[in-house]
Amino acid sequence: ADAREELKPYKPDKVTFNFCEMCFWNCTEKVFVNDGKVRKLEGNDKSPLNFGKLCAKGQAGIKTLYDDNRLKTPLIRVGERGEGKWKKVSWEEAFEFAAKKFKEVIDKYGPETIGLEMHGTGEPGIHRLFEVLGGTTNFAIPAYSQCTGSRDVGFYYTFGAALGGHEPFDLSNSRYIIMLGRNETESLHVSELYHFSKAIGNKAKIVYVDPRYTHTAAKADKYLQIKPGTDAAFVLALINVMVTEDLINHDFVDKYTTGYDKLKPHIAKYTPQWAQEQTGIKAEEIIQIAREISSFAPNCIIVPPRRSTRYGDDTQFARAIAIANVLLGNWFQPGGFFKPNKIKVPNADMPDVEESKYAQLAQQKNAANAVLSLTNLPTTTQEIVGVLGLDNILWEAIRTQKPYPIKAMISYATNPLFHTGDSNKVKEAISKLDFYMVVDILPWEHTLYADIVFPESTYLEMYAALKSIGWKYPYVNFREPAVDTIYDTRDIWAIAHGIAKHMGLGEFFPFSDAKGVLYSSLNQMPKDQRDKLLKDGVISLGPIPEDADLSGDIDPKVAYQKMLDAYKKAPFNPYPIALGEDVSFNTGSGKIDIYSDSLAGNSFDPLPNYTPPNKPKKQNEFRLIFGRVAVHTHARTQDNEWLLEHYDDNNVWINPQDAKSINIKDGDKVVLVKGNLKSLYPVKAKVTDKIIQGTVFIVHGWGRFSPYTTRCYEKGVSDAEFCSNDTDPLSGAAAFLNSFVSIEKV
Amino acid sequence: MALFERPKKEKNYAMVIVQDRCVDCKACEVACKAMWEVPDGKLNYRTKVLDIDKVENSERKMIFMPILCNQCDNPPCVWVCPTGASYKRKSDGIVLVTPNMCIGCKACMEACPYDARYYNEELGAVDKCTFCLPRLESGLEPACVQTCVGGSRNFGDLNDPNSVVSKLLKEATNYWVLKPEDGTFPNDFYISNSAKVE
Repeated sequence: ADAREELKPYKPDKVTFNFCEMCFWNCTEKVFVNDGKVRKLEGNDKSPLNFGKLCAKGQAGIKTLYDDNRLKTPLIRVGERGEGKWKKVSWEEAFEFAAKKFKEVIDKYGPETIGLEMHGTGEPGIHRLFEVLGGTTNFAIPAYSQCTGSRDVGFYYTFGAALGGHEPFDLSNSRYIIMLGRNETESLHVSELYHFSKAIGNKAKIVYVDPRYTHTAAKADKYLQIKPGTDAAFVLALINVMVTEDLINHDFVDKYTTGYDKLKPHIAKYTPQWAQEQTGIKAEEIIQIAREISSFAPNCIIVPPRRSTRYGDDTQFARAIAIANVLLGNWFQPGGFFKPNKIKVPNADMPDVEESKYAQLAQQKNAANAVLSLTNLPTTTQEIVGVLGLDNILWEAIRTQKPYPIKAMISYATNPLFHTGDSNKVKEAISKLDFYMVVDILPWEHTLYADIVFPESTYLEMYAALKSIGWKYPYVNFREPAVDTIYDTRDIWAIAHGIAKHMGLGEFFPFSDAKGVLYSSLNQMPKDQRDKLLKDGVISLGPIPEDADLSGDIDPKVAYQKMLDAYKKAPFNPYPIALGEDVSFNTGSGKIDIYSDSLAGNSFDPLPNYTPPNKPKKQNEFRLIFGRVAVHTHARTQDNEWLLEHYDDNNVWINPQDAKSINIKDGDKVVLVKGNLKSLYPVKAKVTDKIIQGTVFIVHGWGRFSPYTTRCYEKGVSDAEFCSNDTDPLSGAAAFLNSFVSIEKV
Repeated sequence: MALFERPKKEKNYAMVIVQDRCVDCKACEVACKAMWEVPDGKLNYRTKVLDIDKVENSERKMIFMPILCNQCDNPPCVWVCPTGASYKRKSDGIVLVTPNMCIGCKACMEACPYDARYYNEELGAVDKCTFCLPRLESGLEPACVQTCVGGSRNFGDLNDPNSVVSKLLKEATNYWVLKPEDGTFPNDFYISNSAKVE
């Protein structure tokens, strides 16, 4: 059906419902199929998550489906680890092999010596297998320790709530937005970016602070090039001005917070003049910004950055941001932080995993949690870690085999050689394992080390359990296959089911695949809800009230009131404080803790202090920072043909002064060097004053060394090889940006 | 509001691009590529976003500029086409190419001031943006507009005073077309500092 020839009205043969798995925002989409092939992905316009929009990555999901480099059958290793030599096996053989290996490890060392890392919609499936095998809390979702962990812990200590992965920032109703290295336009989620763009349309004032001039800087009214690692100084100085000039929202602070009296003397030393020394940003700028944002309170926000795994003091940095926002009184207010809403969906009907003999064995053994015992985290932090895990420490526990050996490891849809601060340590860790199992879509680098590789189907070929995530507008997502599986692949529930069955644990997986799990939930849903989901591909609690009209035609106060009045009648409410509802906080005090007794009790700073960043030891060493481009997700899309057309290799950004001092010209081929380590493939130097002096920048996810992902093989340089492997003592999360490298011309 | 002296059409399809709101995310380019099966391996899209770096008053600026066919009311590509493969529809003004009439001489590509056409080897003909005419006829928006994450691209009929494009142009404090000096009378408009875009 070539529409170009005849220009007939465009009509897909078939439309199926899905949600995107190209990143973890999981936008709701429709899949257009013609002649038995997926031809077009389109945002589902009935979804309040993405308003019918998909980004480039989402649109390019087709090329992941049809990537001929995909894993096509189960594989068992025949060569050395790292060699990538496998034999193709049947699913029966693969299940038999994995079951035998897990049994061996459990019999020899105990069930607590199994580890798991996982990411994506299939998490509940693989996690259930892990629990049935007696897995303890030695598991991790890298999204915590490698990304949002410190931010979430900082907010937890302040508000008694983590912000979560679907951030509650009400950008579209905001009048003043400060972003500290939150590169909204390149590290993007569709609806967040759409709301950010709405703020631009509303002429909200946007201040962007980053050592690097990004696409987000291009959209800001004011860009401030800050010295890396000094963001906390900038925020503390903002607080200083707000307190000193009494710009705070007293109504809010009096009613909802504790500890403001202690903040006042504490913050006195963090003057704008002091911050100027640290950050390189002029004191007058800081004073002006503090005054400006306060004048828009509470309809303004200082955005806590997403990947806040930077310098090891990130939790206290997050605390500083949390407190600055508290002084603006923007919690559950238009333009500040909204309250997430969620639609409850019934769980699939499955037996309790604790009944499994291995789970009971693990309980009897009462083995200490290996990961947590390597840290010294306060109990409040441990509550969060218990849910999400510490991937960085998990690999360290495997590498050191302490406090007890972890002998089997599962990587589900995560590539540890690309998400850690020191990938060579992960290679060493893998060598300590008796059994390493990988489930993925493509033969990425870590699969080269796996003893068994299970090929998963892509999201366009399978069902998935229902997905309901808290966000401003509540919704439920639904996934059904658009086409039959192209290769001999299965969904994660089928893979977990097969392994469990071969271990005599089949009763814990009453459904043989994701479809069974999905329909078990669907069948328990109220009929009207289920019908709506099957008909529209999404459930939302609409209609959604319109955002405040901040175009300038009417008084913003009136505009906000009009919106709030509409929300009074809506079936959900993102602004309970603005609407005068009673709100309490899950902190010990029931209020927002500006001063944290809990931190004081654990010998941590109860009010945030400034820790200056580390310094290079030698001349001509540069701090290595990394980030994203709009057309790639982490380290998982670099083989995608359409996305490669937009970005197919990274380069090293270096300031002209630095380049001059080491005699590098724009376009020169260079490698990164750190001790004995040299990057594998030369990349181009990009000499630009968009990066601050003393710092080099690379895009994350490159330096690909799996020969089986042919489109990106031998391209770029990997941050995971050269970053720091430090840890924030308060969150346990990683700190990547404490590393210095030198640059050599090739 | 009389924008230009233009021929009367039943529908006057137009694109209004809120330039402030383009974030260079490339969603439009990939959506367009998927929709129209633009050949892989080359950057010969029907639409693209240009990055323009500049320094103004010693301040760094970066501007993102979505580009596509302007469906000109005075289309030089049509006038130079020796076979009549390139033509402009009277009813709505959309400029099209009939592939089997195109001999691939590329005169139209030379004539277009906007670099909006490319030669499609698989098709054996010059190819270009059609404002997604087959989608319009199915009640869908153009693929790039539908997916525009920044809400920068807007599409509609300028003859309809209630269309989003009419409203945007009416309310804009500042709008422009590309290369007005070429006298092409484009149907893509750019606006800036605009509010109220849904």
